[in-house]
Amino acid sequence: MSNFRYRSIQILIALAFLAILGRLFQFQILNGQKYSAYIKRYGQTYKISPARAEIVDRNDKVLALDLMKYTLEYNPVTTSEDRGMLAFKLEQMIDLKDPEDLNASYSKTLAHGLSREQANKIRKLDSKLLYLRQVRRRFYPQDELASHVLGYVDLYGQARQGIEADYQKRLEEDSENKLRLSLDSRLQVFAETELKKRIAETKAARGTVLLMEVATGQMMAMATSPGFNPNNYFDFSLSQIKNWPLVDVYQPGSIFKIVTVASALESGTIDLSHRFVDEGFLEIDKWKIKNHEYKLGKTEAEELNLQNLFERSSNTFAAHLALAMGPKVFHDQISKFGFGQKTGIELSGESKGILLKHKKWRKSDTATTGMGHGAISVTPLQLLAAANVIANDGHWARPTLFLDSKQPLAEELEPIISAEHAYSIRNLLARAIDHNLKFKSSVAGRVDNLTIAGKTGTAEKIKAGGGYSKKETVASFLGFFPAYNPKYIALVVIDDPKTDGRWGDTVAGPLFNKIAAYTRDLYL
Amino acid sequence: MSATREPKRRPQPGIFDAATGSKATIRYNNKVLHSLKTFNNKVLIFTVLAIFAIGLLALSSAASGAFFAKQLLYGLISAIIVFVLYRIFDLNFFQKNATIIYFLNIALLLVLKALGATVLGSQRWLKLGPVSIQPSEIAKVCLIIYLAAWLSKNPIQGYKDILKTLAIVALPASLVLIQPDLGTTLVYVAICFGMLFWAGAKLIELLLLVSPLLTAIFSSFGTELITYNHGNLHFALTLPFLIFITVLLAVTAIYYKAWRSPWLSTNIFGLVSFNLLIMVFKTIAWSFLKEYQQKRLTIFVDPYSDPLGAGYHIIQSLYAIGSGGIWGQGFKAGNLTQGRFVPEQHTDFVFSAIGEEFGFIGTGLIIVLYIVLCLNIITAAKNSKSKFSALISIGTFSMLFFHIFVNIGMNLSVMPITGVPLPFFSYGGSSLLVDLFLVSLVLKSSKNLAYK
Repeated sequence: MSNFRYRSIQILIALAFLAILGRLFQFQILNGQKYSAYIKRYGQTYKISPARAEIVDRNDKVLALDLMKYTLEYNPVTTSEDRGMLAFKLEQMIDLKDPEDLNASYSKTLAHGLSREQANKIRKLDSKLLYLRQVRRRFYPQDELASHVLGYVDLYGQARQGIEADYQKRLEEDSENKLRLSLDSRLQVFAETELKKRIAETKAARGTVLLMEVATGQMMAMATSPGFNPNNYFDFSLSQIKNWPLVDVYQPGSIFKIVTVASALESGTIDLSHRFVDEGFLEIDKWKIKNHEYKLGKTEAEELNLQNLFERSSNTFAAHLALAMGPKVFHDQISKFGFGQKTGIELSGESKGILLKHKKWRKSDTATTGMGHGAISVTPLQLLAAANVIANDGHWARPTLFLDSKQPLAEELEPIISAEHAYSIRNLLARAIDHNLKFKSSVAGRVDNLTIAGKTGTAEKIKAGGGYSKKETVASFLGFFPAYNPKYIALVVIDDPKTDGRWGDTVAGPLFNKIAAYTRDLYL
Repeated sequence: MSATREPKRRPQPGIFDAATGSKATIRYNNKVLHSLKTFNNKVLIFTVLAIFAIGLLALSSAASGAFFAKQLLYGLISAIIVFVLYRIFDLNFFQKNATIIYFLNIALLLVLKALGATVLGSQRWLKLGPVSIQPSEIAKVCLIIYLAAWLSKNPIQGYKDILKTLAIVALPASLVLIQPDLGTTLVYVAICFGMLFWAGAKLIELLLLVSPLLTAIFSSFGTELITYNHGNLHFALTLPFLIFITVLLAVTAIYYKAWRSPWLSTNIFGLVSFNLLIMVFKTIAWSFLKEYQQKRLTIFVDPYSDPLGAGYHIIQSLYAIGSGGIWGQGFKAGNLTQGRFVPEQHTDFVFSAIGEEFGFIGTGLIIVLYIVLCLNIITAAKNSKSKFSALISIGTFSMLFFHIFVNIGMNLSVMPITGVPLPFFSYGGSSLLVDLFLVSLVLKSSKNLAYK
């Protein structure tokens, strides 16, 4: 027969089998190690995955536990049983995908994750065609609650992300004893639901609420939205599963003025009585820094004190302080507050944020860094921990997720700023909030029977390709309460809101007030 | 006794060798041919036995060895049946009675359809007392025999011949498709294509034939240039499809020299733009498939999109094969295989058992054996002097090749899940019997001719 046709088929055979061999090479030789390491680690325990300890909140409310579940398999044996009837009966008990499966000539998995009751019912059918296999499944009874902190265990028994992954060893080796977190699920639920609501109301992209105990650094609530349900993690995208308040950085904006003022005081550049004549704008090189309410020709120059700086969130004043300190001094002060370093919370994947080297700062960078732009980018958690220094009498408290975490006592640590300065700044912040509530109809901080010290932030986001966007902002509010004897500190960040003027006060403020009020009800 | 003895003279086939005209050369050629063929046949038998043996090894490990004994029994029974058939019938019998065989087979499929409605659910199996038979498997043999007889009489000269052949295949194929059994239907299509090609169809004609399928594939991924959504009709013009249709149009136009006549160019343009219609109505055709069928066809692209459902089999299979590494975990020492964590591991995913326990060495050996098998069968086709027997071999090759490629591809997540068994390897009596019988016809095609 034709040689051409014979050769063509030979070539087809060669190509097809080469493709298969290539694929086998890829799986078995290039990635073989990866797969076998995976199986070795989890493989022996594949039959029944190892027991993991329960994870509970500070009040012993269960957040994650092991459940024995059943997988229903179909056995392709020849039998005189009525398959149609069997399919009909099964459909009443479980969610059978396709009744045709019971006619298959090969074995099949009919259902996963069946309960003991379901399994018992199926056993009573006493069919040769069915086979039940017991498997251990990680179950999260509160569904979405604190899912970003907990992480999840995937269907193959491998822990992914969060406490589940980072404390894998502890959970498996000491499976008898509960792992207790510092979270309070009452606060956590409240924060998550309110955050979700607020994000929907403001049509924002995402948001977070972080609530910490001032003296110990214990996290009481870490709500992150968008969230995911670890019980069916596979229905969610990576961006929903990401614990972004630890990972993603943004420019903090006005909240950072707390650090600027603290740095200026601590470095001795200014004292508490320092005053500044604010013209509403400041020209640096070719840039013009303006205040929010500055209008050309209408704004008159005013002399401001430090309390006024916080009341009006004066950009020019903050820039002036930064310039007065100079890059080196300011940079060193900032890094003392933990910026550019991980906070050390017990979750992996934390980002260091960005703090550019001071030698690279131009004059304009120095000025804008003073108002929370320029050379500084932070994670929400970093900002919370840094501001906590003010609340905690000048001492650093590492954010932690455990009640019994070993923290050095506050007295043993070198204070970051002096207790006197911390006290003064707290008073400045508290009085500024008070003033704004009384005279400016502000929202943030208006909580009955509770004084609040804090600062709003409305950071313009950096546009793709440089420059700042007027339309995209990060609205935030950071506050601690009670203002004159702080016990708790909270940060609310709402990313890219579309309503309420996109201001920190109007967007993040109401949510902060609710959180503070609820914390007051529970703890104060 | 002398050490060397002349082999017994056998009647030589009367071939007129126009090239040399020398009688001695003819005899010499025949001798060489003869010994070559017996050698080929020995290799073929050995290859099949080796694959079957490795298959048994896999089955003794997979599914806790529950199917090992049965498969061994099936093997013995099939071998006996095939041997008896081999002795009774010669190829001429099949060639002469091809039409009867074809229509008997259609009748069998119709009977199955009729009874399938009454016997709940079991539409693929027909029970004859203690034995159940699978008419769609028998149909493979019948189709190959009839197509071989038909094509040896009517070689492909043009489109008309191709269309006639397609009509022959369409009848049993549609009966199997409505069972529903998409995998087996595709096997018929593969058989048909291989035999068409051998019988004289041009590559470009086959390309035009598969172009609707390629259209369906190319129009479902890539950058979308134009999208249309209205009612049931929604389609997108994608970049890969645009490139494909342009290349198709250009190749066809150049090949047929479309500029020679306006009639010709209209035809070609019409034929190619038929693909545009396919693109537009693809979604409607797609909606005729059941949901689980749709999912099986597309899940291999991203098995992790449904790790508990459609993607489960593939992921488990990939982990089993990947963890085998170069040397394998060792016989009966594979975690996934021993824990029965790969579903359907005695049938569709039997390859993964070897992959896990014998590694690249094991899978590579299987691939080599299948390459030898395929090459051997097409060599038998090449050396056949009768068109009928050559076509039988090509039909057998097409079927086996499709099975092997699709099954292993499915295990490696490059092919959709179609429930096609691995020849001589997967558990199952029907397909083993059919495959063995077809191989016996290939053996016979060489033998017949050598001694005719």
